[in-house]
Amino acid sequence: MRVIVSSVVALAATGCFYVDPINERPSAEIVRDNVDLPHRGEVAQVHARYDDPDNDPVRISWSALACGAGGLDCDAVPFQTGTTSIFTAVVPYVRVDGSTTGAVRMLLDVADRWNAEARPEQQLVIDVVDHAPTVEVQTSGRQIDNHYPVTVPIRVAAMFSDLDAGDDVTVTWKLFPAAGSRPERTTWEPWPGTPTTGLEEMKLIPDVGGNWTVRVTAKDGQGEITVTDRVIDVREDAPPCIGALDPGTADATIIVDAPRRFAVLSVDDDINVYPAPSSNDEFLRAASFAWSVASPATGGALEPVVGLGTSDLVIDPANYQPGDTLDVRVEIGDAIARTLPCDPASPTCSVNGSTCMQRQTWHLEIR
Amino acid sequence: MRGVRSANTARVAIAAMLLAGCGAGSAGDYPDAGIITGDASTGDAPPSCAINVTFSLPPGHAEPIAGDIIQATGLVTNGPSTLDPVWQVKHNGVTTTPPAIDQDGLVVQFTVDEAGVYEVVFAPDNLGACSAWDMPLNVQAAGANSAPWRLRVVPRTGAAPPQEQIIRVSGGAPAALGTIVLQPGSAADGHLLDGSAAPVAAALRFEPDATPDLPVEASAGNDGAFHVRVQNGPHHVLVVPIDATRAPARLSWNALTPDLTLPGSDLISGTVRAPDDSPVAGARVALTIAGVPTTVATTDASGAWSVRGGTVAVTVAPPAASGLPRLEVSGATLDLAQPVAIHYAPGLATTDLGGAVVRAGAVAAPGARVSFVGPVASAATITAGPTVTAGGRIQLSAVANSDGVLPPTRVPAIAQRAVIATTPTVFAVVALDASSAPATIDAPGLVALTGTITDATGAPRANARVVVTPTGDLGAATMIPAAAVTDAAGEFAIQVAPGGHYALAATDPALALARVDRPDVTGGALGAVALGPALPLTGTIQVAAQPGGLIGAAVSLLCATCTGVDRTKPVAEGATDISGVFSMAVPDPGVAPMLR
Repeated sequence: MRVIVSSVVALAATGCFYVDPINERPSAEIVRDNVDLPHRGEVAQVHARYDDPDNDPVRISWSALACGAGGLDCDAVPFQTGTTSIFTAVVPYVRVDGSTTGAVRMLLDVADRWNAEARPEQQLVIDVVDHAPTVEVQTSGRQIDNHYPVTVPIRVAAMFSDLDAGDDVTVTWKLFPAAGSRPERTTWEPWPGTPTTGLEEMKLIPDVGGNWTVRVTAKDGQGEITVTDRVIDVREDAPPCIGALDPGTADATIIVDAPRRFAVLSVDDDINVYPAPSSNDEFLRAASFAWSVASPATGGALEPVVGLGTSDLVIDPANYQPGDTLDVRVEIGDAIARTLPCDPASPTCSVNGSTCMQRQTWHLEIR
Repeated sequence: MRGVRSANTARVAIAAMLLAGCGAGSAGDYPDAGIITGDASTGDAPPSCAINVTFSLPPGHAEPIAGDIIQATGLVTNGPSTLDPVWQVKHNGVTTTPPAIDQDGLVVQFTVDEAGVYEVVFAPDNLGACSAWDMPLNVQAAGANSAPWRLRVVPRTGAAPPQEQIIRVSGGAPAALGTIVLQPGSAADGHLLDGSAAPVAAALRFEPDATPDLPVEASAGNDGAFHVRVQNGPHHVLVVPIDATRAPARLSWNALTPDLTLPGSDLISGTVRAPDDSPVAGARVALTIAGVPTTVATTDASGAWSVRGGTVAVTVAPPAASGLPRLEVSGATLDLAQPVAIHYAPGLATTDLGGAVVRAGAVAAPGARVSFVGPVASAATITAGPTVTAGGRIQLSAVANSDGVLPPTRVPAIAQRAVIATTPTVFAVVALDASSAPATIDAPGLVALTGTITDATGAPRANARVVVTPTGDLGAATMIPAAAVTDAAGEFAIQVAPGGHYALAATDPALALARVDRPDVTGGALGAVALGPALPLTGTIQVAAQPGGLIGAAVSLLCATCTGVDRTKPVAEGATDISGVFSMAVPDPGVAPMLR
C-alpha cells in the first residue's frame, strides 16, 4: 500500500503554526444500475459512486471478468475495461476456456491525482441468468380453412434452441387428444426421417374432431424449462359436394338420341377431391362414384351399376327402345361411409341438409 | 428510364391485350398455344386504360422457339402522359430485367433459351389505377409437334353456360393458357307455343350453332314457360313435347327472341307385319326425319302405327315375345305421304329357347340373365312409295328361373351370340346356333384381363386407374364397365367375360402422365400398357365483367377430331381453384425426332 506523506513544514511566525494538509484517499463504491440480473449477451451496467475529501480529480478504472457460478474462478483477463463513471459490459456467453459464463465480476479502481486509491478495492459480482430454451411448434398437412380433417396425418414440428452456447436442449412431447378420442385409433409417433439438430417432428393422425393440444416442453442443461402448447383444430371429414355436372341441368328431361355422357365433373371435399389436382399431396384420395340406372329392363327401379367407379356413365340409346324413360343416378362418396338420409325417390340429396349435394339424378327419354 | 407514351407499332407477330383496371375482364390472344381468347369489348366500363404488348419474332417464326431473341414493345393507351416502364421476364423461378433498346424503355429484347412458359411483365411504375400487363409467353421446342384439342369449361350452375374453344398444344414443353374469359351468356325467359299460341310442355335441348357439343337442357312447363342460360349467338333447339300427339321439332333460336313456336306436323302411319304376314302388335316405331325424332308409336293389334313428324331413319323395336330383331334404317328415301308398310322378311324364322338350361360350370345358374345379340341381314322391307331393305339387330333378353331354365323366349333362328350374366358381375359371351333349340346354354367362367401400367420408360405406375368398357355384343347387352387400380408393381387384374370385347382406358392418378386407350381388348394377359408422356397445362378462368377468377369450374380437354362417343370422353380433367386457376396434364404431342 502506498502512503504519501506530505512534507510538513513548520513555520513559526508571529505566534502562528502552519502545517501542510495530509492528502486523503478517495472513497468509492460500485452501484448496479440493472435491477434484473442480466442474461448472457445482455448488458450489465454499473456506475461508480466516489468522493475525494480533498476534492482532487479522480481517475477511474473498470475491469469486468467472466467467472464461474457465484463469481468464483474468474478469468485472468478482463473481457471489458472502462474509464468512465458509468460502465457497461456485454456479458459473454462463454469464458476464455469455453465454459459457460456463470457470473461477472466488476472491479473498480479509483485514484486521486496523488495516486491515492480508494480502499478497500471495490468489487461487485453480478450473477448471470441462464437463458430459457425457446421452442416453437408448427403443424403442416392437408389443411382446409385452418383446420385439419381427421384421418389425415399432421406433421407436428418442434423447433427449439437455446441462446446459451453449448446449453443442450431436450424436448418432451405430450398430446392432449380431443374428447372422444381413443388411443388405439390415434397415431402419435415420431415422424420418420433423419434427426435434425434443433428439430423434432411427430406424426399425428387424429381419430376424432375437436381441439387437439400438443405440449412441447423444452429443457436446457441448466434446468430452464419452456413449455409451448399448440392447439390443432381437427374436424370430421366433411361430406363431399358435387361441383359441376354434365348435363348441368337438374330438372329437365334429357333427350338421348345419340350416346350421351353423364358425368360428375368436379367434387369438392377435404380429402377426396375430383379431379385429383396435379400435386404431390400424398394425403389426397379419390372421390368415389356409385351409379344406378332405372330402365324398363329393371322394371323402373334403380339398380346399381355394379363395379363402375368412374365419374361418368355413357348411355347409348341403341341399347334401349325408343320412348324408354330412364333415370340415371350418381352418388358420390369420400373416405367415410355415409348413409344418405333422403327418400330414394328424391332426385338429389344432401347428407346434412345443406346445398352440398351427394346425389344427382337425371331423367332421360330415349329417342 | 422515363419514356413518353408511345404509339409504337413495331412488327407485330404476336399480340396480347389486357384491359387493365377497367372493371372489365382481361383478354389476350397468343396463337402459339392458340389459346387465349376473350371478348374485351364486352366490359361495361369504358377502356380507360389499356396496355398492349406486342412481340416480334425472328423472321420465319410464327411462334417463339427456344433460342429466339424476342423483342417486346409496350404500349399504353389512355394512361398517364409519361411512363416509367419496368419490364420483367420470369422463367423457371428466375426473374430477369431485359435491357431496353429504345430511349423510352418501351422496347426490350430478351432471349428465350429453352422451351416452356415465360412470364412477361410490363409494369410502368405510375399507371395509377391500371394494372400491370402480365401474360405468359409459350416458347416451343424446336421441331415441336402440335395437336388440336377442345378445351371445355363448365362453370357451376348459373355463373356462365358451358363453353368450348379449340386450342393447340405444342409438344416438348409446358404451356400456359393465360386468362380465359368466359362469356356470361344470356339468361332467356321464353315460352313454347303452338301455332294457335297455346302453351306446350316439352323437353328442350339448346344446341349452340358454334359448339353443338355443348347443349343445355331445359323444360317448358305446362304454361310453356322456360328459363335457360345459354351462350350468346344462334342456336338450334330440339323440342320434344310431352304430349305424344305433338311432333318433336328442331327450331332455330336466339336469346333475343326467346319464344319458340312449335310448327304443325304431319301424321305418318303404317303397319308392321311379321314374316308370316301377321300383324306385329306392341312394336315401337320411331322415325328420325332430318335428324329430328318423331313421336314414338306403338303398333296396335292390326300392326298399325302412326307418328307425327315431317322425312328418314326408321327404328322398329318389336315386342320381345315376337322374337323378331330390331330394325334400324337410316338414310331411306320414303314417301311419307303414303302408309309406311314394314314387313319382316318372310324367311325369317324364330326359335323358342324356352326350356333351355343356363349353366355356369356345368351347374344350373338360377336367375341368370341372357341377352341375345347379333346382326340380321335383310331382316325386313319398308315400303312407302319406294321399298328399302332394312337390316336388323337382335336385342332380346330373358331371365332364367330358379332352376336355371329359360322361360319361353323366341329369337331369330340364326347364328347369334348370347351374353350371359349369371350374376350382376359375372358375364360370358358365347356363340349360339338358334336354328334349333339347344338343351343348355353354357357360360364359361370369367377370365382375367391382366396387365401392367407403366410410364413411357417402362417403370410401373402404381394407383393407375384402369377401366374396361364393354363393346360389341357386351355393349349391346348393356353390360357396364369394370374398373381396377394398379398395385405397387403397376399390375392390375380385372375379371372379364370370356369372348367379350372391351375398350380399355388407363389414367394416371397424379395426372403426370397422359391417359392411354386401347379400343379393343379381351381377356388374357395384355402385357405392358404405357401411359403417354404429358405436359402441364395451366390457365385461369374468368367470367367477363366479373372480378376475380371463377372458382370450381370444371375444365376438360376433349378430342377435336373424333366423332360419336369418343368425342365426349375427356383426355384430361381439372378444376379451378380459389383463384380460378386450373392445372392438368395433357398428352404431349412430342417433338419431331429429326429435330430433337
